[in-house]
Amino acid sequence: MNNRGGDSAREARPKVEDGELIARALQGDQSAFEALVHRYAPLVLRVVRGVLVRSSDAEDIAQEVFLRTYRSLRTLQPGRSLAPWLVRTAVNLCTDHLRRRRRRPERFFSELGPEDTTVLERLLQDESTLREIDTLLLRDLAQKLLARLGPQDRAVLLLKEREGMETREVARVLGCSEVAVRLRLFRARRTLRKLFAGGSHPGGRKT
Amino acid sequence: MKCREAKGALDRRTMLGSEEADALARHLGACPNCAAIARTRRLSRLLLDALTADDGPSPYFMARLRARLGEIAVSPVAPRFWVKLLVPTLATLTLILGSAAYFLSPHSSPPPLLQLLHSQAGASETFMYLGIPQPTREQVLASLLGVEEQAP
Repeated sequence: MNNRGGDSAREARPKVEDGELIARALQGDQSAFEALVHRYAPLVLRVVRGVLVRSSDAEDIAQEVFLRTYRSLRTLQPGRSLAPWLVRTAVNLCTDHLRRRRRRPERFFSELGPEDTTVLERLLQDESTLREIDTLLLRDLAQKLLARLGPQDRAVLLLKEREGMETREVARVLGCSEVAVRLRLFRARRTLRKLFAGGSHPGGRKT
Repeated sequence: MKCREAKGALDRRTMLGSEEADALARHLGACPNCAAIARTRRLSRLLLDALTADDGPSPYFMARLRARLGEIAVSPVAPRFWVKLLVPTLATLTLILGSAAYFLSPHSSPPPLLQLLHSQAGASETFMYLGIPQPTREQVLASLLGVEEQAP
């Protein structure tokens, strides 16, 4: 898994393998586990922020991911990278969180305003204008558009487009079939294409 | 390049050779449908970047996690199922066996109150205290030998 849309296989190999750090953590060396946290916190936070879309609970959930991992260290397969386990745990926790949140009467304002539409139109006409657009404005637009996708569809889109994972890898990480991954990806892309083409669709799917 | 190949190439965008990348660019220039698909994917990536890009965890992230880890650091792994079951099972077995040994023992002594009364007051006063008539020597012997009392 990489950082910026590349391929996981091309990620530089860490100096100390995950397995070695896990073994040391199991012997009570907390600094070894902290090294794992430092290594994977950015990835876990990206996944959590991407699936939750908008939430101030992102860091709490990321912490819960690492706490669960710590409790399950002995059950992890030796010699394997920790990343798939972390991503799967993060996606599951986010999905649970969103399900709980849906039960609460909370309102999400995901309709595009005139400012958002202007930004989107500018981007559609010329992507090179991206640098001129305010970061917060762009993030707000991203939140509004991506909130229209279901959490699982969003997770697949994130892992595929942002993390550059293969379909097989995504299926393994999320614990579903490759067909399901393709289906979710197709659904997510179709929704986004419609949104890009027609702007805001009131009554769309909300998380 | 055909549309089907172009879609496959868009999926493998990071692994394309220069020749394939050129062919894809030519196809996207000529096919508005595939160009629209490519634009959607680029925009999706831009939005995902905008959504997930951040300065990483806050300065307090590690400190808070360290504190929470400290609470479970004594035993990183929960005891196995059979270990959890062993303690209550052993306690129950001990209780059952102890009770059985006490009640089945032939030399079990009388309850402490009766012991005290008997030692302090003697047999007749004990029976009086308990409110039951004191049996005669013959009645006790008959009861011990299993002889039924004869009708007068």
